[in-house]
Amino acid sequence: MDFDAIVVGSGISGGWAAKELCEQGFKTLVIERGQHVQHGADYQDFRNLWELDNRGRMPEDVLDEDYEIQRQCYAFNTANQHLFVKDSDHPYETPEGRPFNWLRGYHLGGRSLLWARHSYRWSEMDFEANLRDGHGIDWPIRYADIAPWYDYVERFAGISGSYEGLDHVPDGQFLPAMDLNCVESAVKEKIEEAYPGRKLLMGRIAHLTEPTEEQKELGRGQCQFRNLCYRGCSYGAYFSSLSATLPAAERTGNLTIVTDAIGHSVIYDPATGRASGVRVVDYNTKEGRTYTAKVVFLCASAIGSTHMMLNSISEQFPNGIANSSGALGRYLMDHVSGFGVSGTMPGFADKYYAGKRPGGIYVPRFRNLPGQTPETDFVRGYGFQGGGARADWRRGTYQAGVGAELKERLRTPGPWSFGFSIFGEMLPRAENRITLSRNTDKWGIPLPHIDCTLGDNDLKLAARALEDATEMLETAGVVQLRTRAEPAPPGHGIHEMGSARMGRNPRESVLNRWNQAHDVPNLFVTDGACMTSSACQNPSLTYMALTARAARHAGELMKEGIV
Amino acid sequence: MKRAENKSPEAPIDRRELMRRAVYMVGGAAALAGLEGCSGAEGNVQPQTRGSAGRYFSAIRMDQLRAVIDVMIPATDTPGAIAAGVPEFMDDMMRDWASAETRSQMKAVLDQIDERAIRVGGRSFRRLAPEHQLAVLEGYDAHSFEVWNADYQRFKDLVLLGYYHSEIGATQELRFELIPGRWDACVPLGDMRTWAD
Repeated sequence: MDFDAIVVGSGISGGWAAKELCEQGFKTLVIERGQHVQHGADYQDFRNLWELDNRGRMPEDVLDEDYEIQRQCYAFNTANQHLFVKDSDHPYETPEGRPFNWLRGYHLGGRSLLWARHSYRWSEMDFEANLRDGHGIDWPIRYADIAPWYDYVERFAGISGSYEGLDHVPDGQFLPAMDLNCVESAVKEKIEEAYPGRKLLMGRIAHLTEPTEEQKELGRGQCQFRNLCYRGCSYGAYFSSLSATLPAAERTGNLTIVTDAIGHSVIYDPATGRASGVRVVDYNTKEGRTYTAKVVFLCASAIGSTHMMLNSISEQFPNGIANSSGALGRYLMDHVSGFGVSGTMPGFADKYYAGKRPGGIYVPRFRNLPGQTPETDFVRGYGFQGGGARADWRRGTYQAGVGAELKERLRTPGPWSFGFSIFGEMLPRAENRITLSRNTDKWGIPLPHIDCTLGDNDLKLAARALEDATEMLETAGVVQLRTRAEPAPPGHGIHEMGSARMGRNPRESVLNRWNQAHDVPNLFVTDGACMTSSACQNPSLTYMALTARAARHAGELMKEGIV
Repeated sequence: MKRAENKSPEAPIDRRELMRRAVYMVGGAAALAGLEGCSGAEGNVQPQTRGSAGRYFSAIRMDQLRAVIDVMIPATDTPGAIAAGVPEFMDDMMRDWASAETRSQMKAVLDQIDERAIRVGGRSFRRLAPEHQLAVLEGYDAHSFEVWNADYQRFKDLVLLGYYHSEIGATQELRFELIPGRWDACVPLGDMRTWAD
């Protein structure tokens, strides 16, 4: 036995699994398919604007040839090119006419370096939703099961936010919230007055506004309000695997990291009925090798982990390991997103701000809440993100004028804008599915084939969300509205989840209430793949809490000699 | 171990960058001024002299480009686009960033401006007197927004990017802080200038 535990993937979930397993005294191997990225040294966050390659713009021919999908991500530029995959090296398949935008980075820390850092708890409403309206299967856990773990991960990660007392987006262990700017405060006031029960709050984001001793000990510092998060943060002011969980794991002396090792499959031992380890393919040499351990945690992202399980074929599991239910690969979800409305806020010409806040506002779900009479033709709901800002020099590109007059005009900030981006809950449907293609990548691994579309409820919900967002902006006094009416293809929300879902019944789910495979008791899956429904909140905080909880459970089972 | 093609230039971090990082980590933005003083003007772009070819554009094209850019963002109470090295930036972008299609769009814009200069003033743009250059570019700019000339809009976007993301444009014309260190959410505008990115 090489290790006590293997963790596949080093992003948000993998970092937590590594930390929790190492801190319980287990020799833990983290396998990362991408390159080693060093916290600080591999970030470009201390470069001035004029020092970035092509001032941040990716060469157009390179985008066309190598980044067909990733180029659609708002965060992608020359300063973080190494944190996104080359699509040409890492292809996947979708049916023609049914795009799925799989936005991702293969490197140590994974998407924890690129996430938008919004962190919201789920509530009892979210865990009961499937049971109540019959879409999907019942979650095997309730809010009370996860609440202490939310407390635990929030205290360590550092989430800034305000206390609101809302049952459906519960408060947590918060660092001080960042402030709303003048226009955001005005919009908040108007919306909360016009729509009792609706709230506009500062987003709950994973930034250290007042670092604790525990956070400082790890070398993390206070947010400097640069809003350069997508270049990586040398201060460690936002939560990432590289700033927080992997250093915590490392200092136990129990952590081993192997990079450039592509997870190929989980090895199943029919004699024990357990996973005996993991097979990897070396990124550079393309040679295969195996690592063995008592437990295996898959944290390779929803699609990554599912793909690896589907590729883990044995006599016992001809359709993928732990797939006796047939649920593996199905019920893929994202959030209904990539659309919204924004406009101009008249007035406030004498107001501005100083510093760059690295996150925006949040409007929690307000439709179909418990106790409300449903007034909709759909189930579930949506929340809004967004914010207000004054126009900068970029408006010059869209306005006529040259010479001294142009310079003079742009040196003063322009009008205020305010907008909402919509994030809606997507229902789990069996036909939204990941399968293995017959075609392989350059390491000989079958490509994932992703077939996923928005359903009837998802589209009805999207239409109403847009109406609500529009009406609320009008009520707040925002004018000259510009609408992006069509949700982006699934995947674009970068909240993909659900393809190895948790459930009570082994005949219809892959994982039990501890994120443990029903069929293979020493195999755990704690990334987005485990999700039984999608809610409408950003999911990373829930992955953190579920991962920490599962790792503690796995530790107890190991200590008791059960696995 | 590193995948070279997947990283922006493998260039080792130079001494200046390391020093600067050290200063930022220790002293934050306040220490910046002193350090920049030590390192002198090595980061400033030296505008090229008239008549020399660029890395992409010919000598004549460079002259034409310089003339257009100088009129678009002139020196006023702050340095303009020439001092900020915008013509050289545009030339670099044609080599290092632009697709073939974008290159021909940018050339087409320069041609259209010259055509207008010849029609209105009887000679190519770079040979016109400054006041006539301004009139020609104003007319072309206004017309381009009326008919939505997408090529010109991209050209203008690049010129503005080149200027407002230059050291001069960001720090002298606009207001730039690499490390603000605070978030003041609602302050009086007063005579504050637009924040650079």
